Amino acid sequence: MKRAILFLVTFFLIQFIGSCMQKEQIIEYYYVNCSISATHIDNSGSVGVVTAEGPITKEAYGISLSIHRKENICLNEPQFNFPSFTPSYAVTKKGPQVEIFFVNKITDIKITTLTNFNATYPAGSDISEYFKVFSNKSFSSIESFVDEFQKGYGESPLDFNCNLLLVNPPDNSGTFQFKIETILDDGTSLETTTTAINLE
Amino acid sequence: MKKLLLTYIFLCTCHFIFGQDEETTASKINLIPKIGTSLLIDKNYEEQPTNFLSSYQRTNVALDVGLEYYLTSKFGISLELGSIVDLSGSSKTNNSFIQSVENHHTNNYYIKGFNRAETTNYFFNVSVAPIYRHRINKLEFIGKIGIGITTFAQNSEAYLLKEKGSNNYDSVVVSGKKDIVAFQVSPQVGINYRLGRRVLLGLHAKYILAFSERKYNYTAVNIINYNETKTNTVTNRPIQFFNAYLGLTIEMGKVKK
Repeated sequence: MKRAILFLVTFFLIQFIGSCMQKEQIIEYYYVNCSISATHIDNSGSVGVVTAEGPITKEAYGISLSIHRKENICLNEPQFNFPSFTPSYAVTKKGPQVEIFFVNKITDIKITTLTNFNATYPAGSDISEYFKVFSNKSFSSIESFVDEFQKGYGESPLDFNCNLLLVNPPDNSGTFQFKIETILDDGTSLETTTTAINLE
Repeated sequence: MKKLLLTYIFLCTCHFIFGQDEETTASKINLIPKIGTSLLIDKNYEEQPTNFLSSYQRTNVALDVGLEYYLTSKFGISLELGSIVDLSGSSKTNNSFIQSVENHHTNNYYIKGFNRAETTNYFFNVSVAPIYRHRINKLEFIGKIGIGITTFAQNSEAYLLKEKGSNNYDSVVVSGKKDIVAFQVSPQVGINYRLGRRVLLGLHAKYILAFSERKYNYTAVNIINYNETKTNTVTNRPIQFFNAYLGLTIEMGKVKK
């Protein structure tokens, strides 16, 4: 009987020490920006509504930009671990460590007008400064949005939407079309073009 | 003879006036807990959204504790501590405030994201009052005129305005002064019915007139270009309440048989 108890206590102790000694796992996320798409927003009401057709009040126009991404998760096992023990992270501060790697990181978003926007900006001009990103009761510039987006890379959904609202409307009503380009750090870019829309 | 008659009439009058002092059986020291309802008297209350950010509403709960000390059977002095509590919901934005803001902006703006920043839903008042008491059998009629101070709190609120037909948004903060101390006058009448040797049940009515300046700062910031609009709302109108209470009078001093 004594031997049986001794055996059980020893087994429990080994299990306990083994669990405590387990080293942390590292979970690696690889994100790939694959494509982008854009639709019009009619923000004349209480909330912005995605729409395919105009006319839209030019003071309440926006673009809904969707960034489509793909994710590849790799689990990196540490070099040595006690093979059959569930880690209790007694010797490390946290649970599995998450590391995020960007296959192609977004560095900028550029909006170009394909029609004459106003006297200063003819067709082909970069009018990114006329758009601001609206989220959670506040506006941010495209530049600061890109910075924040990169920081919270792993937290946002794979298909990510942002609302780019036009804060400087054109002087005159008319038909407008925009090209949106996301510049990536590998030297490439993703492009999309909105349909022509009547802003009045 | 005339002088004798006048002296007799004078003595009779004195006896009539002060005679009740001698026949008193009441205690000199009384404790009076009271509970009731407090109604704000202000016909212009709905005019300003800021009125709904006060620490009181149209109808509130009134709690009072009074301590009376009688110098004679009829006259005494009282110290009262009162509180008016708004039970309509303190942490949430007041529905009347939302409605009032919507009425203000309804033509040009959508309103969203109300967020009450600071909340106080009660206030206290302390007053000292001379008392007059008249007793008829088991009934007591009480009259007091209280003079004292009261505190008020003005809550703050934040919300977002979205202009109709536009990408324009304004972030609005309406902030009030948190602690206000005001002078108050509070006449009061009551009727008590003796239930037992030391306990009386009473109905009391109190009018509170408080003199205070209430000031709200309205700050609207356009969240695109950060243009700021500031306005102040100042109200000097006195605050008036009518309180009705049900209370007990507990006689704590010696009671003559």
